[in-house]
Amino acid sequence: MSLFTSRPANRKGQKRIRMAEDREVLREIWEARLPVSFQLAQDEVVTLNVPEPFYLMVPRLLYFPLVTDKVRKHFIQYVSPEASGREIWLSDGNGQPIKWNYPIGLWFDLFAEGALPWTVTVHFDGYPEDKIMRCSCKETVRSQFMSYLKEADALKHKGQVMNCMQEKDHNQLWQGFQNDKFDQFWSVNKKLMESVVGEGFRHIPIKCYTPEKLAIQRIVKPIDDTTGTWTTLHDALLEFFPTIDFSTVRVIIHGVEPPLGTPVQWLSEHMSYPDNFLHLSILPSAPRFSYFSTPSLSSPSTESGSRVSPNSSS
Amino acid sequence: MRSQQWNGEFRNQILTLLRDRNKRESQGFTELFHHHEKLFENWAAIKAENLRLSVQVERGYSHHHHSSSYSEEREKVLEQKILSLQEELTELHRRRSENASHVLSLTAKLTDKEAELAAAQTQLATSVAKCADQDEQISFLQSKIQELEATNQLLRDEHQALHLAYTALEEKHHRLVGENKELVQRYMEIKAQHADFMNQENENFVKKRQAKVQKELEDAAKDSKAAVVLPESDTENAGLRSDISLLSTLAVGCVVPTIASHKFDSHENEVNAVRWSPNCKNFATGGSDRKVKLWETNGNEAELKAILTGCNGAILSVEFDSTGSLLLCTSSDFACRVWTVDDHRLRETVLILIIRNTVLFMYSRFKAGKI
Repeated sequence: MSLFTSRPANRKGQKRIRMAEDREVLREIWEARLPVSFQLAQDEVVTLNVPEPFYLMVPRLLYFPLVTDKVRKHFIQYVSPEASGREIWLSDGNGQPIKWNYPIGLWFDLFAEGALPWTVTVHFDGYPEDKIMRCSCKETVRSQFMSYLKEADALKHKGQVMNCMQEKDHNQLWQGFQNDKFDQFWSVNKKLMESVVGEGFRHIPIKCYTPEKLAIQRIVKPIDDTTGTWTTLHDALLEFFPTIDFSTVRVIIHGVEPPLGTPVQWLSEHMSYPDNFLHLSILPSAPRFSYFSTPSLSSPSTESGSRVSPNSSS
Repeated sequence: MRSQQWNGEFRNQILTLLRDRNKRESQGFTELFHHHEKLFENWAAIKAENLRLSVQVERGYSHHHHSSSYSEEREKVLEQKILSLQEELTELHRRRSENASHVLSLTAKLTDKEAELAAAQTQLATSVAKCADQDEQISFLQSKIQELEATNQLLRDEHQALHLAYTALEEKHHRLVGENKELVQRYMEIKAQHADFMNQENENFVKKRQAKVQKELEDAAKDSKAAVVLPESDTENAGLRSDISLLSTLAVGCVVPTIASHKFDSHENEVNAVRWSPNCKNFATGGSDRKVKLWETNGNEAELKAILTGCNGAILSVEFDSTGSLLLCTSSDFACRVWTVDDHRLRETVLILIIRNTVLFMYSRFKAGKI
């Protein structure tokens, strides 16, 4: 049932460049939405009327500051006038402040434990500056997005593709991403997914997240040096956690648990977030939800802590 | 082996998973949220409409307030509302005045503080200036100190040098004193040697003379008699007597002076001889101090012209020659000596012996003049 066929070498015998062409998968990833119920923090309400929760279908791939304009407009009439001038911040069901620089889908997979609709509390007061950064305008989000893109390109192509692109291409990437325009975005992004046939990228841009430690990054090569085959997800995870026990953990991306035998090269081409990174959530197997068909044990996760580098949360 | 083509197994699995996820997460909720949004908007619109209509109704009622009790009730409600609003207003005014007075007191405090600050700053400025002055003075004094130290050092060095020079000179002095002593000693030695030598010479000379005389005597005894013929006498006294008699027979007429025109000391010891020179200006004296002195007179005074030495015995008599250029003297060392008057040099020494009434002359040299 594969829709993807290889292209033979041309007459001169050169290798053809292969790109992510599986539109179906790409479209499914792009159009993913989450049901979110925004509620105002109860201690910040100053009017007699109790505000209604604000329900919104939020794209998994976006960042919160890009979708909260309507939310703010809705709740601003219920807070005290001095608080209404301030920047809002969000906290999830556990009371944890949501870091806005993580894609929405990533945070949901990591912390929300699959409860739908996702209840998010909106605060105007008491911005926790020690835990999350300020985001005064959308330019901040854009600059982070672009920096991640450049980092990913540096890992994949030594930065050559991004450097050859013009300013208007960068703009097109951002606008397409922000305004939910699949064709606009992917017309430029497919260049970033190019690689030499049979060899893949230089390195795979990939980050792992656990509920305890966020943002772990390791060097992962698309082709296994010893066997000469494509590196699988299984092998890549061993790079991060050498003592991982796959029966006790779930590896989730975009809300699904991919088979461990999937080549990371294919994953990077098709299932990266728009910033070209693979953000994997590593969660302990829990009896509540199983995303995959195999039965999961209820023992807690056993990821090693000593080999993991203490990356500062991005 | 690596291939260009992905086998589709995992892809299909993943696609199925994604579709399941969508069913679970978004499909159920999308329509619901959409409807909710619609209802919400409707509700907001209706609320706004309601507000507008109620405002309108109130305005409408204000025209008919006297006609119905309901409107009176409405009025009362409105009046109550107005009262409460007025109370609020007074409260706010009071608060405002309080705040204004607070502001005034704070500004007064602020001006005070500013004045204090200005005073402190001026003080600081003056003390900074003072400090700068003192720094200047300090540096000046330090430079002076350095100068003085330098001169001090210079003086010390000079002193050191002078001390060294002094020690060197002292050393030299010691050395010279030593040398001087040594030289004096040597000179004394040499003088002694010379005296010894002279004595020796004199002895030799005397011995020689004696030998000569002896020889002459022997010769004379063998040959003829002496030039001056004297009567033979056996004793020396006879010889003396004959001298005296000779002298008396040779005496010529003379005047004996009675008053001395001039008196002076001429010799240390006795003066044995005196004689005028033919030019009547000079005269010669001889004394026991073995010296012959030549004098010049101008009638009242006598001036010493020369001292003639060479005699080894007391001078017994002196005599000038006829021209006054030669001087003859006899002394008790059995010798006659001849000097030239002009250059005061000894010319001739003649040993005279009187043996047995015979006067014998022994010459040492015969140079000028004739005796």
